[in-house]
Amino acid sequence: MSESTNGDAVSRRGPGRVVIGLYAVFAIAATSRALFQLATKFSDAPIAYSLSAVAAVIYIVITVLLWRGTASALKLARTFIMVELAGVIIVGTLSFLDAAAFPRATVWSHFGEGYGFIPLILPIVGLFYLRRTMDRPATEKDAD
Amino acid sequence: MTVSTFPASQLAAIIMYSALALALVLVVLAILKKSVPTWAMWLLAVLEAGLIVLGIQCLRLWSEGTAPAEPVVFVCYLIACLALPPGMIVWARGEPGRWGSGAAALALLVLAVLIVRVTQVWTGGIAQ
Repeated sequence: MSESTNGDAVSRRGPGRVVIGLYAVFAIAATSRALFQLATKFSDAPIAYSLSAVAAVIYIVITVLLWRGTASALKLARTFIMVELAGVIIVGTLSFLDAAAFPRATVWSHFGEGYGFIPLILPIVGLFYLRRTMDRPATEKDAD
Repeated sequence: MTVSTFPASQLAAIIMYSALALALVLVVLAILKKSVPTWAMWLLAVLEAGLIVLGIQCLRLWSEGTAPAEPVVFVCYLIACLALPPGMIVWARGEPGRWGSGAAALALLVLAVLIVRVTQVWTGGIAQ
């Protein structure tokens, strides 16, 4: 990779490779799934499919913010990751309590069971990673 | 709907298990703080070649009249499979050290899942 206006953002280095990679995978997977669901069978399960779309947008936003890696972007990313965590917990719980409202799976149903529970783990990993990354000045070189 | 068997199930299985094995090796390398070695890149190229053969076999069968159960989804997954190894080389090689290997391992795990999904949406094994 050779784009370096102000060097590779710290957020992209080290563990950021894996975290951003995971978020990118989920952004792409959730977006394609949501587009397909909305386009072909929205009326089957409007709530579930709308939630799929919301989740997809959240994953895209987080991926882009982490990639940018400026101090303000990372702060905003933290907010979105908290929304993501709340989303997976709320939707996960509701999908058990009120199965009728979720006749079709979303990324977050049953705490992301269909995706190996990664949707539940991902925001927690993201928050730990951000706490570690945001402690460092964005311009400084990696010290380890 | 008639359920057709996946045209290249053996090849798909070989690619999937190879991807899993290579992912495991890369996890070990990441733990040992090693970068992605060049031979792993060659193995990836072989996997990509296998994926291309797989895609061609599917498309040939399709052109002969055996359509996948979920055509649109199938094409999307196939494209994702084909794009993943090259994308992964760029992303993982950009980071020398253990995290590059970690990112590569992650991509290979995703590839293994994608291949399973490709075969599922061809046969219609699992509905969306």
